[in-house]
Amino acid sequence: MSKTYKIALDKLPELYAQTAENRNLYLPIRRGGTLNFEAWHKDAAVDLYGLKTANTPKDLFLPQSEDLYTIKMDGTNIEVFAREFFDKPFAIFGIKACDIEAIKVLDNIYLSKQPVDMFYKARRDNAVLISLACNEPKNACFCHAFGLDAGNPGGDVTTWINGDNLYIQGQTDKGSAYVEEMSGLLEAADFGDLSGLQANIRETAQNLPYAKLPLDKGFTSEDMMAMFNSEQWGSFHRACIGCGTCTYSCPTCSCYDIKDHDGGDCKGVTRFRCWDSCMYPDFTLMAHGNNRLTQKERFRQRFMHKLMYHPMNYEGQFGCVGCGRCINKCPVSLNIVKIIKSLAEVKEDANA
Amino acid sequence: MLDENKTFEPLIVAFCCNWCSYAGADLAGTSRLSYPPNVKIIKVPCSCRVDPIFVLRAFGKGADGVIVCGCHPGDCHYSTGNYFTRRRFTLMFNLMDYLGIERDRMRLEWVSAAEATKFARVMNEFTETITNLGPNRQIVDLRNLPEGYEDLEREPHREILPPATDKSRDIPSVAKIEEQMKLRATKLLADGVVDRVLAWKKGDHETMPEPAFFDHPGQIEDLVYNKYCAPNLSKYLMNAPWLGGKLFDGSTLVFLKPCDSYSFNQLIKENLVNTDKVHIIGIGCGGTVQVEELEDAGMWEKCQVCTKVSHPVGDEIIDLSDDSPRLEKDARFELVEAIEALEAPDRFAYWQSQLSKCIRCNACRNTCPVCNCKRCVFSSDKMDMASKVNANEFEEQLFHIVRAYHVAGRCSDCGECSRVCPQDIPVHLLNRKFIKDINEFYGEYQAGENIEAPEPLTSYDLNNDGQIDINKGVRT
Amino acid sequence: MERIGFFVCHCGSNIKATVDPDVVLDGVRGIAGVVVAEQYPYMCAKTGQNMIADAIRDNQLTGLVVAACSPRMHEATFRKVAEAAGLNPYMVEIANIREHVSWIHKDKEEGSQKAVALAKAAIAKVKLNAPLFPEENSVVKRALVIGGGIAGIQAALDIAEAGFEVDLVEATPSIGGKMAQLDKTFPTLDCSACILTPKMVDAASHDKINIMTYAEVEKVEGFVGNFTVTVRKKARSVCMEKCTGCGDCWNKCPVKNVPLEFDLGLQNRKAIYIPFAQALPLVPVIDREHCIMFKSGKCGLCKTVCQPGAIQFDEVDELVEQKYGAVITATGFETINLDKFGEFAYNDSKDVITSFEFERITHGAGPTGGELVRLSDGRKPKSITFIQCVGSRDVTGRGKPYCSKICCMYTAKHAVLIKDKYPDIDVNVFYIDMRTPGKAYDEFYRRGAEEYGVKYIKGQVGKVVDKGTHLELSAVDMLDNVQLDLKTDMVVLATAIQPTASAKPLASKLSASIDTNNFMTEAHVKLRPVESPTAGVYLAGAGQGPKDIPETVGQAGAAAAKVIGLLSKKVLLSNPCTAAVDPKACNGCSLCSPVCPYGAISYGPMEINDHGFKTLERVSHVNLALCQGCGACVVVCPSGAMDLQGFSNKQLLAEVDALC
Repeated sequence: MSKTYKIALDKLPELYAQTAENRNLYLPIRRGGTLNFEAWHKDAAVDLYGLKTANTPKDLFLPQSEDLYTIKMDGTNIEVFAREFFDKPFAIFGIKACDIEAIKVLDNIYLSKQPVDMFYKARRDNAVLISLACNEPKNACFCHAFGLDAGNPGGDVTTWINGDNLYIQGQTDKGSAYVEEMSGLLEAADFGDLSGLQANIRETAQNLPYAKLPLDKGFTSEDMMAMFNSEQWGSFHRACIGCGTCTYSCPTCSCYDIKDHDGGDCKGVTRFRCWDSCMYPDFTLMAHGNNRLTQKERFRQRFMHKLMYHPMNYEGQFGCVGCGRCINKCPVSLNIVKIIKSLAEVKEDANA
Repeated sequence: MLDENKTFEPLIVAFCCNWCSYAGADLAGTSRLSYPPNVKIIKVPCSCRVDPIFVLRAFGKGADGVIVCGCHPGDCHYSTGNYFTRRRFTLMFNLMDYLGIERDRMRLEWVSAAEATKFARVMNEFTETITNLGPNRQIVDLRNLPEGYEDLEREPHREILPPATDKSRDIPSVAKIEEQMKLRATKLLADGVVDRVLAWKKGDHETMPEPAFFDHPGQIEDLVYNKYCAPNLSKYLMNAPWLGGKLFDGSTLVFLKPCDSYSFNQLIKENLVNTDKVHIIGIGCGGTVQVEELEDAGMWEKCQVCTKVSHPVGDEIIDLSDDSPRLEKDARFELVEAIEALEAPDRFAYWQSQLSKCIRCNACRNTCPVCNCKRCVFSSDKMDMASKVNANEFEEQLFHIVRAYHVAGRCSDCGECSRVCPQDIPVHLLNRKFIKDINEFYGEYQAGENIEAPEPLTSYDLNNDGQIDINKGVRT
Repeated sequence: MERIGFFVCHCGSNIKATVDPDVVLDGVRGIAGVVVAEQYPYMCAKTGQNMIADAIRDNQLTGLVVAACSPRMHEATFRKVAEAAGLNPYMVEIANIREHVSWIHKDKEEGSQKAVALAKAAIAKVKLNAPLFPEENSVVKRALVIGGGIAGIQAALDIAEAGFEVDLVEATPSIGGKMAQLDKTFPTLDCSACILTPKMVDAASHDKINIMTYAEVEKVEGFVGNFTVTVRKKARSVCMEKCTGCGDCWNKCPVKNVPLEFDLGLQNRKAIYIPFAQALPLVPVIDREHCIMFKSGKCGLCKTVCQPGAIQFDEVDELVEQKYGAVITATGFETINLDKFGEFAYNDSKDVITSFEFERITHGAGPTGGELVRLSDGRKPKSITFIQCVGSRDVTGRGKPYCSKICCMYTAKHAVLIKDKYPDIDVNVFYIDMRTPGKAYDEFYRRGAEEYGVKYIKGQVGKVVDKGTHLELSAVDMLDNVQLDLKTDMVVLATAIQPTASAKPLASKLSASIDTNNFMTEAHVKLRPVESPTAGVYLAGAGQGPKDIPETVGQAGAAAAKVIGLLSKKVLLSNPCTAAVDPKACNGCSLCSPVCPYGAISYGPMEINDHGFKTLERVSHVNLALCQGCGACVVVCPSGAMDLQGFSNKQLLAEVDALC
């Protein structure tokens, strides 16, 4: 384990400034009344104490939309211009354990199999992930259910707010290099100072209402078809209004659509990709129509993906990290916890 | 500044109706009356053919000024077309002004086929105005956070952040209403009067009731009604075969809070619900609360200013007791007025700051009872602006403007759009601006109150409408 | 892939002087789809037209753009060229580089660049044009005239004379209308009945005219050329065929106290009656509300005395359905109710009467046999005061904002008639303004004032009080600015007129629009004054706006001429630039129909097949024969399901994009 440092909380602006000297810095900023990961500037209202950002660090790796290439046409002459890959180094500060885990989910999707997604990779390679332990996990948090430790969130660099200081520890080479770069602002600290804090966090996290979910019941490949055919889907979706809030607020939802827009001059098009949501009727729309005709199928797709297909493809890693954003944000109080509990009950009933 | 402007050649798009203004422009040509070449004319059959989307599109694609010209009121070739144009653009220009976008960039003028001199004069004046204003960037940037956006946090608009919830408000208990709802639901199901019940179902947690259908009396024990039952149920009854699945052909008992019942009535007006198959019980409401981390986070702003105590539709009513606290003062326009009171650059900064947070999840649209199109123009290719979160395309900037315009005159101010926004954008303050202007210009109108009443944007009042200055947005 | 031909016209030097055609051609070459780009000094000349036609044939063009003068000049020309060369005429767009460019700009560089911009916009639009085809609709050679007053009678006669069948529908038991109630007409003072009755007889005896009295329009379906109208013929209880009009029935009828509508209640009638002696048809009607037989089942005297046996108590309303090519509305006017005008004591005094009542009192067949007397005591009045603008030009909200137009002249007529017959009666007229435009009208009014001694007082009457033996008036003489307190024996109120109550429901059945005062709206106030915005519906008489007899007759003739023109056509070609619904996108929300001035939009169920997924949905439908292509419905459609052919959303957006 690498060395632990600390910096007084009131000196954090200096840390931000120095971090931003060589890279863009993104961190939780309260703007227009909402907490989001946004680019830092000296007057920004940084808020490290708000538990959950409304957006997720995903936005910085998989932007809402991203141009891929442009085709220019002049008469019969057609040229294709590829977009250059993202090449500006940046750091994201203040990522919670759940969102760090979510980036691992995204890494699996975009980087673990060939071909890797070059646009994602370019951004990922340029990023330093600086995590922050959750001092006060709250009711809607259920990262514990997925075996995460909110008190030890990981990333390239991990930080903790302990008393009047921010404790910092490099976790990876990239992270240690960053800590080294900041060393002028840091003083050595004892990792042992954090044990009380970490214990508190774990204690809080495991006693939250949804800390224990029956994820061991039935979420395995042999139960897939039973789960898929469960009659419960017929009622689960009925309240769903088909918006994309759960997917766009989800740190792991990673689907995108590819579309073209013309520049308005009738002389070419730009191909871009943009977020898509399986909750939408035109998700994976094909010429023959849609294979998911009703909200029932769309709704099922999202949860089957998170709880079954993703674990089956990626060695048991769930597509959910327990951040609880969908619990807070769903307009009609639907969320993955309800689904997990209900599906597990089916399994239990069937076994009984 | 002046020197810079000398080289600035603005691009001006003029929409001219075929019968008057285009002919007026022709006559200007025939009479050799000159006006700047910056003005490019697009012919439309009638000024009522000009969709505000065209105007926004022109701005989005780089126009610096847009002018719409039509026949004088009373002279429309199609009799009434320009009466709708007049109302439409009065409200649109006012909304743009509210967004802090320079309203002088857009204009509406009546030019007859004989008024060549007026046509040339108007175009000369307008070009001069636009030249003085300089290049337009505002609409393009409405939802883009500019570099170094410190300016956004300027003091004047900080106080009008997304309207705050109020934790201090007394919310009367609705436990007695819940009790009676269960009795009625059980009885009506058991008696076969209805085949199912639409209400809220006990969630996994007290704060998480979800809209649900109950098919058997035995399920009614799970029915709940409390301050967490915010979701508007009216849209679930929409007769929308295009949503897929089999249409329910039995009858449904639905419980509607006052605000929900206005939405439902609007859906009746738009022929989107089958009233023969619905039994409505209006229920009293003491206000609903935001839930954060499974905790009561205070009463929603929309409930703090709600004065909808009665139900415009309903077969039965289960109301609050008479001594429950009721709002007397209609304070819902206070926030709109606060925004209006800002200087234009601050208004723009305010909306840029809010709208730049949008992730286009479409929750506002999907929850809105009057966003009931089969396919939204933003999800179809109908208007050539299918833009699924294409943040680089200007259409994306227009989403909230166009949505507000499309629901204008139909929005009953249920406030669901803002309630469901994951980014806490006060979307409903756009709709409320329309409502406020409609009330001021065309007489008090509450959507969903009376299905016979003509809607403000599809009707006109000749004695009144001419008294509104379209370009200034005030009563003269 | 589209193949667009682009042609720049020099218009001699008209365009070429300020727009360089070479610059324009350079500007459009290279735009995807442009396969021909040429110029010529006069594109509209035969050689120019041939050049275009050849290019269309040689290059299999799918679209044509001509940069030339205003489309108002030569769009039709180039469309014909295209059609002749095998290209759908609606695949043509014009870039207006003369009126909108060369004639207004002096700088050649600026002009050329603007011309390029307009050319690009036209090319962007034409790429999205679709071939359009006008629809052909047959025309039913029969007209319906609603309202049997002088307007309806004249229109029916004119149409019938042209050889077309006409049905004339009248709500009351007889045709004749308001004109039949009048004594004399201004300014010639000829007897109203003497000039009207022959027309009534002509209409009734015309073999092409079918008169349906005591009948109302129940339902209207269809559209121009093909209306299907259901008329309710109310039960008359008297057989039209058998009745000889002998009068035995109404002479014997024991019910004597029913106010006679035709006499404005100044005389009574029987329960079985004809409204007036010259009524046509001369067949009585049983007023079932007052008939003893219908009230108690006993009596039947009329049936007993009727020798032809025409009385049929068991008659029921008959619904007649008929197809028509065109409809004329001639529903006329009525006077407003004066309840809100208490200051004139109309409801309190028998000697305060309306001009219409005055008309009946002076009429030889009227309640007093033409004797001018006070209704209260039968005394001959020594002085009569006329009050103008009672409820007209009203700013108090109690009456009508408009001028009723006929009152100044009929009052002048009344004044002259009184003075002529009874020179000893003092006649005062209170007026706001005298409005006497019209041939020989002002002369007539002046003669009254100057030769007959009618006293005109500019001013308004504030109060009328009935003192039993006389009436007292408080008024202001605005010219002398003095308060006047007058005594008079009789007050005649020039009461405002308004469309008949039947106008509004009829307009709604016809989908014809009415204005805020319930007058029928014209398609264009100046240029199409006798046409309703709804194709195939025409307007005549005071139902369209206040007017006097000659104007009414003139308008009726004009409307008839329009109808004859329409019925003479073999087929009607519709304008193909109409609104069109994509039923797959329409959710039937019904926002579009309120803005359609032509009633062209209806809703109904349709089976929608989305990739084999079939549903029955309520969707909007545009009647292409009615739609005029304004686009109002398109803009109120939030989903874009409604679009306008020829000016589609995508076409206009493409133009915007190309310009910006």
